[in-house]
Amino acid sequence: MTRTERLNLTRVCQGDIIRDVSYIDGVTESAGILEVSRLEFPLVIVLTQDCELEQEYQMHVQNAGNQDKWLVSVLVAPLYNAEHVYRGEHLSELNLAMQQINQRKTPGQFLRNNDIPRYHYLEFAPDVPIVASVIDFKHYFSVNAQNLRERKKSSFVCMVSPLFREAISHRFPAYLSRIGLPEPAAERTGNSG
Amino acid sequence: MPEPLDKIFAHYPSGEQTTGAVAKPSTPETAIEVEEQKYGIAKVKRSRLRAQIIRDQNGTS
Repeated sequence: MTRTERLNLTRVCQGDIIRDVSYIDGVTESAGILEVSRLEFPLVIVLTQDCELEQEYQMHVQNAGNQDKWLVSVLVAPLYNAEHVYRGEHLSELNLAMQQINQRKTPGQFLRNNDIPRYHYLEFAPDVPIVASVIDFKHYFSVNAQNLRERKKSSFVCMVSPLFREAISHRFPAYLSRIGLPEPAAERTGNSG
Repeated sequence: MPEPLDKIFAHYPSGEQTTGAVAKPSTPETAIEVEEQKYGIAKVKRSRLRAQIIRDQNGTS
């Protein structure tokens, strides 16, 4: 069970879960018409280090002499409904089919035990209005810090408690920093890239 | 700080389109649909905003 807090600070915090966050994935212009394509994520969790978020907020509040702690953006990862993930359907409305994970067999158990480096499984207490969810560490994006602060005012759900959020922020870079070594056969043929 | 795109395009609400949405049955039939309706946990969707570019006399937008 993932512990959460309802502490709703003005600033964005690491581990904040926020509803309805958008990612602009394309802007095109044709014949004088500008088209902005957005992905609408129902839930995201903030991954950026909490000390950096706090320092940036203090910089604004205290009107610091310089903007050394300014952040270009805040890193977030989507939360997907675990039931959708088991069925590989969590991105079906984008016409994307994902790999299915058998909920009742070993792969499902591995997912729930966080034994698969790519995924982080979260199960919440009954009073938290979020179903069992999965973070896919392949999926992350950045949001303008000021926009996310504004979004949080109306769409904050809860904050994953320290230790639990550190577990996420530890597993995320571990997954990103994995090193794929070439297979011996590929190395012989020079096809190691 | 530049103005958020949402505000910029708020002037052109008529051009908004949402794609990929699937109509939900009015009565939930599965546990997932019950959860989705209870908690509002929907799937990721794509939306598109369209706006006409207005150029000034110098040809800049």
